[in-house]
Amino acid sequence: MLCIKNLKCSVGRFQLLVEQLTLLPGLVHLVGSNGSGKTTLLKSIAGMKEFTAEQLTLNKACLVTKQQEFNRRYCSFMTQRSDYNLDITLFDMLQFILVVESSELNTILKETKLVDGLGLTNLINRPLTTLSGGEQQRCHICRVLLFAEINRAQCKLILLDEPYTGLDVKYILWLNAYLRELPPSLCIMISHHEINYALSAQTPILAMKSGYIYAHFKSGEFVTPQNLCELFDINESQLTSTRNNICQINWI
Amino acid sequence: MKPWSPNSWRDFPIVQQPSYPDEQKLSEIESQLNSAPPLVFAEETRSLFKHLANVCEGKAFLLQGGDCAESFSEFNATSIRDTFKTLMQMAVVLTYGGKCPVVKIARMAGQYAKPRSSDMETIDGVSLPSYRGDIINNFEFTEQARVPDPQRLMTAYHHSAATLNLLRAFAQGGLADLHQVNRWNMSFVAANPLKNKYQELADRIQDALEFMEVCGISSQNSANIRETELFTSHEALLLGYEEALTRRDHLSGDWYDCSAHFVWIGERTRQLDKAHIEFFRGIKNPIGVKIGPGMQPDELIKLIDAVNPENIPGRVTLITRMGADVLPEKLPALVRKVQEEGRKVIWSSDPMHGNTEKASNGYKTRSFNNIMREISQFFAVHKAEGSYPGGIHLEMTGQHVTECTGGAYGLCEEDLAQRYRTQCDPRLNADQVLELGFLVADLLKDARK
Repeated sequence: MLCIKNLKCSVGRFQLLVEQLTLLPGLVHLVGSNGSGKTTLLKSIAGMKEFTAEQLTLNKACLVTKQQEFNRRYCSFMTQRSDYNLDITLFDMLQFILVVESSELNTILKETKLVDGLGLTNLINRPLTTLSGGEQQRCHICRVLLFAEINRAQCKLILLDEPYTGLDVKYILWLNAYLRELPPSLCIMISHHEINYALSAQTPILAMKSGYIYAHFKSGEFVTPQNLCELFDINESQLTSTRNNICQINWI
Repeated sequence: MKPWSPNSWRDFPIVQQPSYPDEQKLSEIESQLNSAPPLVFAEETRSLFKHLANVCEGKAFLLQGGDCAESFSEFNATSIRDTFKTLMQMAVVLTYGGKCPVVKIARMAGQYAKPRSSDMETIDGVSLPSYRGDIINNFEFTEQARVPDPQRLMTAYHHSAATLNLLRAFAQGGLADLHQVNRWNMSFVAANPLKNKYQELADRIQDALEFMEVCGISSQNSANIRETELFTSHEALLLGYEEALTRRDHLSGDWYDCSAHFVWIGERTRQLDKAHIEFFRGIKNPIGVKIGPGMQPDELIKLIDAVNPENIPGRVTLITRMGADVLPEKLPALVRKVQEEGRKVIWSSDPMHGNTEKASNGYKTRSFNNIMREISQFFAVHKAEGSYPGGIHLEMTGQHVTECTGGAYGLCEEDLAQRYRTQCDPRLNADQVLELGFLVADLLKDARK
């Protein structure tokens, strides 16, 4: 269980304030407009941003610490991609993140379904910079999920910041299926803009607006048209509803 | 051999020591120092020992640098900060360019004593005792200033403590953050005549930082990016001071010279039958020995055995200072002998002391080209002999002084007068140090192939 109380983080003029938040184990969709604070929240939890907090605990263990090992052991985090020009392969990256010798990594790769499932078997020794955006995205998804898989005893939190970006349908479906099958003890926060999927997925939704938690919905069924209009600054005419009475946004 | 104790060196002949007119006062000050807190902690020294063992095995590189001699008058935060920054910049360049972890030792927080070639100095027909460093007497050329003053030991101790305090704050308080260091490098690159060559490395470091950020590692959650380990060192010349700061570690029962993490014996004081070797053989710090062109292979083995009879890797760093012209002739036989005899040592190059010359306008200077030539030849000899060139030892400052000629900015003899500040030997300035870092990184990368 992830508990947050009075977490404050400033990035330039932008301010994030999370007064109170409790996330039970399982998957939560983190949604909101651009600049609403999703990435800042995820980076704060991962210890990558300077912040203050009265409480930030994961299963009662305090995360308000600057100890790299502490955060990294309990949390696997995927940031949004940025440009870097390193002569590094997926194999190198996994060695770096998992801190293992190549022989040990080869053994790990034989046992995991991740590399094959994400279609990376033939890409593992190619420099990341020669891969397409979607292929690079799959490499980073592989890194995050493999870290959590290998450190299952300690890693209880997976943070994914816009992992669907650049993925084709096949791998979006694969990722969703994989996340659904993860052990129920894990907290998984996934930020994205696939709103209709979040609304229909029957999992909790954490909605952010202007640096605040707008609402923490138990599932999409509890989201009203008014909520969506306020959250995304759209008109009610742009909404529709499915036969299960779940609100959806047209044309996306 | 008689049993060792912190003061057993007093039974041996000693060189390069001052004659104090007030021995009673000296004894009182040494006694006060003996009950003062140690400057470094034995556990830190053991940590350095482990890092140096890695250097000895070719897994890391040693960067040691700082002032030729620290001075009380130049003691200020700006000077300490600038030298720290320059050392960090060079370490980052060596780490990324040379693809190798770098062990950083500052020649700071205690480098107050200097050996002299002559006991007397003569100017315009007036002869006075030589200046031996601020821990002993004053640089000013007057009879009164040159009298060895015991109170200076206490001043040196307090200056060292304050310097160490600031260095520790810089190392762990954010100044050593890799992002910051690379930003300094970027600004160096922008202004340097060799811009294109250096831009590539600075960009690669930036890429590495961005890549780590993508992997969820930033200065906020990673001590490895935010902080650094920096150790201190000086020439343990004034043995009364070193003895007074030598402490028995309660955990191991061993004796450590707690005036610095690493201490070295100078070329002028390393005689086997004299006091300095006696003192060094008993302390458990990692130690250095300066090796000049006069060293013979058999003598070197005896020297190593005297201070490291158990042949422990990381204990001894041989710091060669031969001169660019002499090194290719003298170093191979020494390296070969050490290899044949199976002695585990770190070879480090001091390219400064063998390349001192007098400029036509009278300034004592060193040429950047000769300094770099000695380093290149040091690497070449080790490559030919199948040995590992483990480090460099520089006299340098973070200030923009004009003491050594050459470098990318083409400092010439006429420029020396602009900012010639040293009280002893000429130092590389901040730009020259960083330029040297980029050049050594190429050599290091090649040596580790």
